[in-house]
Amino acid sequence: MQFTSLDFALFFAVVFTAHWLLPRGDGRTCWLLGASILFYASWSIPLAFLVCATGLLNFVVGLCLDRLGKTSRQVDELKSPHPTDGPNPVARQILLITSITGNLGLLCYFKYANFFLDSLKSVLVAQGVSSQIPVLDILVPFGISFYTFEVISYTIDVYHRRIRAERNPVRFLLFILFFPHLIAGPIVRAGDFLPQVDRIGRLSLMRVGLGVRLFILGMFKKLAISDNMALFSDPVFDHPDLYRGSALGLGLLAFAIRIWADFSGYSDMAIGCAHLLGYRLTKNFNFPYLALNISDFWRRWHISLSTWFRDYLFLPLGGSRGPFITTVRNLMVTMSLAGLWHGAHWSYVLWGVVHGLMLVLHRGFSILVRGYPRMVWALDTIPGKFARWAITLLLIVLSWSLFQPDLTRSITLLQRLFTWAPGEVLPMTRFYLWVTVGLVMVGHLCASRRWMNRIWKRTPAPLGGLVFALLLICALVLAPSRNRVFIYFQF
Amino acid sequence: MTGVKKTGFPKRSHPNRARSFLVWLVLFLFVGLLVLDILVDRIPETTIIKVNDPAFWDLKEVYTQRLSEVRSKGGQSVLMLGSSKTQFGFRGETVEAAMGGDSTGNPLAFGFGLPGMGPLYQWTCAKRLEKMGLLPDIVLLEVHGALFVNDPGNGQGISRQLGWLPRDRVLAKEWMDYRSFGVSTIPQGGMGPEWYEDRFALLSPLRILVQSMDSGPKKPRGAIDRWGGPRLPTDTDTEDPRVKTLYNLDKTREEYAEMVGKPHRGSGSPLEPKDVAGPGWVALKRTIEFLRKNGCRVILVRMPEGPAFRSWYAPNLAQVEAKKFRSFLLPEAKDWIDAREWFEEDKFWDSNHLNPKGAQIFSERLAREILWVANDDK
Repeated sequence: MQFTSLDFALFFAVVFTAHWLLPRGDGRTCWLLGASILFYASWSIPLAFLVCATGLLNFVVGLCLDRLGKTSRQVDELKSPHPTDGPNPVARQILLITSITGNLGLLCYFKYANFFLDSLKSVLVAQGVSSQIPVLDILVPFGISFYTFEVISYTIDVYHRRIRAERNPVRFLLFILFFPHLIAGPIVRAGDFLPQVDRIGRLSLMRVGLGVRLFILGMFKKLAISDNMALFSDPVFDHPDLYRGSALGLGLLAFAIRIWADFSGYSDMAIGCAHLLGYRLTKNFNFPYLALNISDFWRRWHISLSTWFRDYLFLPLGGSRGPFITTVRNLMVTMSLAGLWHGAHWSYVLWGVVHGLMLVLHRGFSILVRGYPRMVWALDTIPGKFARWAITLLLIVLSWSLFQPDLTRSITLLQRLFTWAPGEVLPMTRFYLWVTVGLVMVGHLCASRRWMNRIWKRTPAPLGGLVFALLLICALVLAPSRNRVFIYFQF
Repeated sequence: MTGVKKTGFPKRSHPNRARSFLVWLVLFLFVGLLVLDILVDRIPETTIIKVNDPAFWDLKEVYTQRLSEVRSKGGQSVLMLGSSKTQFGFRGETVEAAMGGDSTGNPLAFGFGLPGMGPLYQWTCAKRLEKMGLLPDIVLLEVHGALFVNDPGNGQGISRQLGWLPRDRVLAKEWMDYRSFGVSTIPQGGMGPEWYEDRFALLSPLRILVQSMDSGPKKPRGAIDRWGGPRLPTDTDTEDPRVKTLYNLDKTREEYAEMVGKPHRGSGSPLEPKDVAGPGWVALKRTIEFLRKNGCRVILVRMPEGPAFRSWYAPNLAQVEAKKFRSFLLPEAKDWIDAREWFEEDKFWDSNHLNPKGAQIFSERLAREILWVANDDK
């Protein structure tokens, strides 16, 4: 059930109506949970059971962690910097480790088993050992990477007593299974989501208006921008050996726009749906292609994932507090795992490594530049900022070549791009690609400015209605004949 | 509110503004669609076809030119109407030569092959050609067994038949015909967009931007030869990756396995002709009647398939089909060419589309068969 399908429109209309007709309290929570399970079961009933079962298991683990700490009543006052304080520190640690290992184990089994087996097979073959390692026939649960990270963050937060364990299984399962964020995020934190369950009051027209606007904007990004850009990028990514250097460059540029429009469009639609139901989800994108450096990019791109990695991996590893070499190690470990999170292929790992290296280089450069005030000044001028933006964007676009499940094709693409190899041209008219690039960049520049918000607030309601009605019509009219699923559904 | 006054913002009640926004949004959406509908109705149908179905239009343009040349000399014209199997398999120049053609292109043999053309779209194309005054003397209609088998047991039949329909290229008016063939709803997973199809088919002309960007048929415009065939970058039967990429051939075997071979894998038995019925049959019958009524000789051609492809069908399917096809063709039941088992795998790109060598031999033999069928009347 894609967000852009009629099935979803009907499903959401029923959920929305019943949700606001029901009295406040558990009835609404149960209704939303039931709808979320149905939403997931529309893909696979057994996997819906699996997600519910693992969710309940994590719910029990949270309760046990709380009980073993025996300090749940004093959570707010305690604020202990030593989470192992309490009567059962070892038992709590064991429980935490078991829970994290179990969740990651499930993720590894479903998502990475064949990847590891394939890699093992390749190593054995390279060593001259013949092997009969089978390929497992595993159906990967949708959104497993997202909800696994959500339950891990919950368990760690309970362990560290940042939040109390949830006592109501329905509320807890709703946190995991809430359908707007279930399949492809944003990755929500229990501390942000669970308090909202009690606060759902009356239907707010302002929130409905905001939700509708976000949903339409997301739909436009997906159907009018992303799906059309796929027409340019798909042939190039499928057969990089056939196309000439210039076509590969354009395909890569189209992919950069496509992946932004696809994922940020999905996030907008998810956040919009949540608003319509009275919930607020984490912001996931903040005009990433306006980033002035790679660190800035990661503060703007897939924010819920990057902050998750920062809070639960990078900082516990030591962050950037120690010597430079420790920071390098921490960055490389974090980004490699972030790459692996995206897909069970070496190309994704390499993508993460490349981003890790870019972050390291940026950090080194920042340290180096501090000793040269004139350089700092020059980099802060308009030409300096433009140069930083252009270099960052170029590197990000180039790195997208690795964002596909085939390392050989990525290497071929880059090789042919840099050697400006001869070959076929793109069979489509480039004019529309450039129009889209221009529109996206202008849209980024305008929408990121504060005055844009002020203008919107001053815009008369009829004009606002007209703009969004046109956006929706354009999305439906411009959608190409072949619908494509959201890219991040595969993760 | 003080801040509001300072910045000169109009004093507003936010909930009212939100309500007002929603009302205007719905209103403009409705009005916008209505206006587009009215505008679309004012556009001539040929313009809509030109924009919405450029692949059809490109072929039609070449065909019109060739047909007018032949008609001016009083010559005979043969048109083969079919899918990508026709596009790859029918070599007009070979058929013309085998039929005793002269250097002026008389008789004309033209392959009107468009990817995804099943019996419903064949009906649409026949109707369009008739409206444009472009019907030939002889029409070879490509038929494909899998499209006519309706196996209600697993619910695959109708959707398989409709799977071979480029839905986004068909106009809303043309959809109305399909309803009389028994098509009530648009199945998911076929060609074309999903839920907004019905509603927004009317808006097709406004998709001009998309159509010129869409690589759907994987056929760059202008890559048609004088006989309607594709201008291939190769004339050999080797597996040239350029051809496979341009025409999406590296995925077709997989697609057909999914479409045709599913019952084979699912039930453990080949595709059975339990119920040869459905919109495909109705459309084929109507197309034959329509073409005959307009003075065309209709010959059905069961296109060649490789052994792998053939293995997906039950052995008796061919007999059942042949019987049914002949019953359609009455009283000229002999107008039926069964080329299904003519070739082995080496003559195909993918067990389904003939490679250049296969196309050459097929076209020569087809021409002989056409002559035999045509001369048999005398």
